[in-house]
Amino acid sequence: MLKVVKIFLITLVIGGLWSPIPLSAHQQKTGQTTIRLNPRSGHLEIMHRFYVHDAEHAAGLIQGPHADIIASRKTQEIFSGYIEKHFNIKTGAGRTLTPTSVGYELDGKFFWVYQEIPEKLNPKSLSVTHTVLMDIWADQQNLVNIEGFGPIKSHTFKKNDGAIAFDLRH
Amino acid sequence: MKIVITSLCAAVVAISGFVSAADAVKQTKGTFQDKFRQLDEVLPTPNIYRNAAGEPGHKYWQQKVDYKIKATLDEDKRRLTASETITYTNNSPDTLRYLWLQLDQNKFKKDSMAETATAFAGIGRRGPSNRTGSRDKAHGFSMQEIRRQQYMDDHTFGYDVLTVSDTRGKTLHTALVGTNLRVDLDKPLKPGKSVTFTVDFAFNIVDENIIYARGGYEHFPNDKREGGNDIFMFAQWFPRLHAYTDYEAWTNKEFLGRGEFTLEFGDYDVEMTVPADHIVASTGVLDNAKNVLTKEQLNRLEKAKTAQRPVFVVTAEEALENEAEGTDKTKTWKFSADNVRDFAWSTSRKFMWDAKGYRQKGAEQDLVMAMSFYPKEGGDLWKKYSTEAVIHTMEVYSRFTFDYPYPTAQSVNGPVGGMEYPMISFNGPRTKLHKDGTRTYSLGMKKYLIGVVIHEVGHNYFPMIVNSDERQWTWMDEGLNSFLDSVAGNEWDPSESWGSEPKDITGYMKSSVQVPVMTQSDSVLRLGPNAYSKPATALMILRETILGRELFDFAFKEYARRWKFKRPTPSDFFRTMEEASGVDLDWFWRGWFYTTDHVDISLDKVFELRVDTKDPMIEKPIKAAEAEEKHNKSLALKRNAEAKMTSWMQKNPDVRDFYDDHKTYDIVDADKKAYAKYLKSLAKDPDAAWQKAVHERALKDDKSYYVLEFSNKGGLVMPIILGLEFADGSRSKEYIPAEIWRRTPDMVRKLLVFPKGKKLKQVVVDPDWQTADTDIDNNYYPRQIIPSRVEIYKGRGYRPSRMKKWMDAEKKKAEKAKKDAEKAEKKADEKAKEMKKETAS
Repeated sequence: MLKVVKIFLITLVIGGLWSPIPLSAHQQKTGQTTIRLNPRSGHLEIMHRFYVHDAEHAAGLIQGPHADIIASRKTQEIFSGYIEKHFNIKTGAGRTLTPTSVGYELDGKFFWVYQEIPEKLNPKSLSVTHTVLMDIWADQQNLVNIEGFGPIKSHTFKKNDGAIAFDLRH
Repeated sequence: MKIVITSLCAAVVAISGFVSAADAVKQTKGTFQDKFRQLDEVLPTPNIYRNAAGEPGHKYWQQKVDYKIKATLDEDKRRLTASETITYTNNSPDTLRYLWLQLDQNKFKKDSMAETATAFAGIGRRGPSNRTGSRDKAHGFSMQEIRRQQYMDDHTFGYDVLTVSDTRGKTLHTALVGTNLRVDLDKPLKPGKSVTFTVDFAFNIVDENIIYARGGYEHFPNDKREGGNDIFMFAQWFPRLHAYTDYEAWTNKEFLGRGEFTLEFGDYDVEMTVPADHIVASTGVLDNAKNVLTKEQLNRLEKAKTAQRPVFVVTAEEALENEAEGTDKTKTWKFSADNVRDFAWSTSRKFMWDAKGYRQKGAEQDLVMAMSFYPKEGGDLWKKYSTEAVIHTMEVYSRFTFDYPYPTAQSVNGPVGGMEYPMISFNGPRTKLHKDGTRTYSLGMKKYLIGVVIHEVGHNYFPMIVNSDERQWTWMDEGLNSFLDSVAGNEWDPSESWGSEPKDITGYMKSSVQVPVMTQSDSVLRLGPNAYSKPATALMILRETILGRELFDFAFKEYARRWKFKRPTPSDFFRTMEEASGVDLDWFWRGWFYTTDHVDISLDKVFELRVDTKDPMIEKPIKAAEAEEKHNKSLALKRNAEAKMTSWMQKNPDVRDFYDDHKTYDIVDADKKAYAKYLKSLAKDPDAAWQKAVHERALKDDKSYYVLEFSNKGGLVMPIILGLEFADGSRSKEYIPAEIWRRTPDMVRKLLVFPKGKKLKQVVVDPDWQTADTDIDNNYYPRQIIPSRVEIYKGRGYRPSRMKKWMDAEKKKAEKAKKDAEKAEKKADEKAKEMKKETAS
């Protein structure tokens, strides 16, 4: 049977988003997120780390030419909101967890965004979706490490991964 | 699509086990892992071409390939037509019946392996973004992808003219294999002999912004000139000889786009015919400056040789004039370059050009012209920093390697973000245009420009001169170069962060999704951390922590000196660093380059010890006190005492015996006799004289002894660096070499001895975070609560931003709505139940 394959043009989510960015030795296009069980509070803490250089390019594309990730609090705020929006986490049972925003900061060559799930959880598994910057660069990769549940569980998120389930039993 | 991460740990074990599986010597009983097993089992056997010291052997050879190229740019058609005469000299001991050319432009053919083997929405692609679907979401691809497809449909790329003929014009038989071309020689080429042949070729130039190539053109439609202007960048543009080596023979692996290349050194004479108003930047020196530059430009170039700051050879105004007009005339620029492994160039009428001489006193190349070429879009950012960064690179890198051996070093702005070739680099950063016509740049863009110029110019040293094989071992140039660009960055502006800091790599190192550094370039999962950051950090640790600057710098410089204009392999690097530093580093290469282990050293226990005097008058009261302290810790006894309970013994004092009057730690005659006997035995035993002396000295010194117990949780053996804090407030550091792990790689104990009265208060493993330890929670004795980044951030008195307040309010609203809905539902249920009851009654 002939399958009809729908071709969806990805809509322009953000104006001018799809202008090509040449590869650069210094544009890393890699992010890192640590999801860590805080043994004291029992809460899940989420720490996103992106290169300032990547963040600067991305913020410019998302927010327009006046974005300034280094000097503008507003740019940082919007970019941190963008990161939070593109990161989702559910329990293995399918319950959506809603991280609260803790804040964001520049630290050396990194831009950090902090979130927290302020409830005591003992999940057997977590399902994570991480699409930060993937709507901008095809080759964006985001490493997620889940810590505090025995051996570290990792996955490098690529553009097409969708939700990834992490089995936390050990 | 859901993927469950369960078997990753097993996968990593399998990867880690790869080396030992390949080893001839195996541990077939027990679980002992020899982290210090010598690397010679894994490295290729030393031979007459590359010896056991890691330097070129006494019969080392490499081929030589000289090129004479004449190329003509058809600007309107964006097409390059050229002819090259290649002279190939066979310095190998082998007779060659055919030669292999690499045709990197063929990567852009529709049927190339790079195109056809591109996975839809696959990882690591140099190209537009796509999206795979799931049950509820369709596959999708971006406008960029469609644009690329349409562009590929409308154009033909790759070499569309390609003929190879001998010096008499006779066509040579060839076989095209993707991006490779085998040229069958009429006569076998014997050792020491040369062959000359000609290749005529032509290709359409790709739009870099659509194809994502390492070269091509960029169009500026808004320039004043009708039809706009282009910047052309020619890289990997002419058919080039594959390297023929002693370790791999022909290095003719298909070009898939990521693994770059390795080539032979040779001399080049290249003529480029371009529109007369173009400025050409190129590998080599300009041989016919008088024919292509004005008198004034020549004067400026001369002045630049001794200038304090860059001098404009072509000014911004002249470049603006050029880009506004255009011409039908052409000029031919002639360049020559000696002893280079490749040749790249760029041309545009948009270029301004600045230059400054860099003097290397006493060097073979006394004067190097540092130069930059950029359009108005580069603006002040380029005017201020590009050429200065080129010179800074040479100053720093030469100190670590050798004097820069070429006459020019250039930085050119165009569509390529960052790419390197001999004497020339392509760099992408630009200024931002505002509505009022002014241009500015951010701090990030400034750092990007300085960083990328240092990095790409730095590639002259690795791999343009120290000629490693990028297609096989990307880390050999990117890792070494990233290490040095961090050093150069730190020397440019120490107030900024330039990279290769151990703490920055810990997240990647501890992840379970990585491949060893010693992985072929096209198979590496994440090239950035694998080939750039991890090896660069490893070298930083080797320099700052394991070898120290003096030993490291000597060995590193020796490696560069040995392999300058030669072709090293990883084993040559490993062997040289070890042999020249005099330090066995096999464990380090194994751990950092051949496995995916990470560093996590845990301080588990600290024991305090003291010398046993054997004198009952001293020992028994101490033991009695210890026993009493232990006894008194009993919670039950404490509570009984608090409740003032009377024991049976207290109630019946008349019932007593020997044991009630003689406690375990009372000093009795037998103890004294035994001590006297011990002292007598020392006096009698001729061998015991030293024991007595030692014993007495130990008693007198009364030193503090501690045994520290460590476990290796990450697998990677590293030195144990201890920060010690004493009760008297003093501090010191202790360095325990990695070799302490050699027999028990999972757990070790270490005795520390301090002078009398020096009591340990706190011990911290790796206090300056210099070994890339991934978990610092277990680095402290006594254990401390190490706040997470989130906790630290909160502790700084975080005040929620407006957006945060808004988001929190939204969240509260949503929660309230949910609760209200639940309440309403409950109410409705109850009402329904009541109605049901009423109906029933």
